[in-house]
Amino acid sequence: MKVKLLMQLFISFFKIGMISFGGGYAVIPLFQRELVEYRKWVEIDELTDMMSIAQTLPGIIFVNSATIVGYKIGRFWGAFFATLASITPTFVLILVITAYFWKYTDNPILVKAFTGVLLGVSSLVIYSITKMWKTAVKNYFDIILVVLSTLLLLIFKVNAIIVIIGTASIGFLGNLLIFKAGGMNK
Amino acid sequence: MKLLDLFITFIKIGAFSFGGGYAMIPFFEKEIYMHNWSSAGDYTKVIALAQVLPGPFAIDSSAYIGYKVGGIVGSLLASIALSLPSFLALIIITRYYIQFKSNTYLQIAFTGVRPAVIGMLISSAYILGMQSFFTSIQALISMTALKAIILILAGFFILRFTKINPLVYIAIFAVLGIVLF
Repeated sequence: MKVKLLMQLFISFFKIGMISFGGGYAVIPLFQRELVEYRKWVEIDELTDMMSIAQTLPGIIFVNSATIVGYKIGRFWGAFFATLASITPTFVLILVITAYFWKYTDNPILVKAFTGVLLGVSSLVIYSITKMWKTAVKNYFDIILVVLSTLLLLIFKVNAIIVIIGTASIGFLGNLLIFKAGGMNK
Repeated sequence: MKLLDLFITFIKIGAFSFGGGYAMIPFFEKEIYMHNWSSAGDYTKVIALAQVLPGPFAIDSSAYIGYKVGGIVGSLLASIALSLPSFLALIIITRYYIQFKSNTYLQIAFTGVRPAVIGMLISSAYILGMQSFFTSIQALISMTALKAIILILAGFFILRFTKINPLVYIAIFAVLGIVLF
């Protein structure tokens, strides 16, 4: 029985991994269809909660959500197989391309297409910044953190890990002060 | 030794990259450059290819970089390392997730990360769209740079005002790239 469940988990996340295009947030409707409506493993409210945890933690949002749903349904091995299934299709495809078809990526027409696609992705990222802005930036202090982290990354070429740890610590202390001050005013 | 270095680097990226795949671009870019793992041009090809391949973009990156460093074994190691930190964290957290959700100090800690994620995304947008034009004054004021800026703006408005299918969106930009560059 357990084996059958683990297989179903693997198949479900493999399937989603095969048809998900367009980044972490685009998987939500696919999750709804497969996990809520078809398999009936989770309720829609639960899924929303799970997605918010998946987005809060570091790592890949889609893979994180596979881990959470997998754990809920099949504990450790559920999480293991769901996570494995979520990365397998991409992994195999890019590996085959890199190993056997890489020489075609020098084709001038393809290079031009890539140039266009990268610009499209750039807009995609800018668009996601505007969508995140309201929840991420709440006061002037946050704006300073945005500017600081951008400058450190782009102008001073500081390692991204150091920038994250640094700005997150400053952000934590700053927001803690703001939280405490707000608490006293009440 | 190279494989160990690869494994540790991807563990670090997996543990500290908040905000999902696109916010990881500055991490990958920096590490590729520091370790001399691949040329910057080849890595941008992976970013473009990832758009037409299904699944998480970060795995395209880890599998590609890992393959460059140590073949299939490298590719496996890098992808496992990238997913491992959050996998372990989530197994612990999911068990206590009600407490996790309502813990004020944790919430504050994650609030502090969010502006940095915006910073990461701004750098990603720059790396993807504009970095190649900031190499010289000539490149910056060229016709190509102007076309690029117009395309980026067009893309933004398409996304903002339509509900376009992601694959159709990418296909349009591929065609525009072939026609305009």
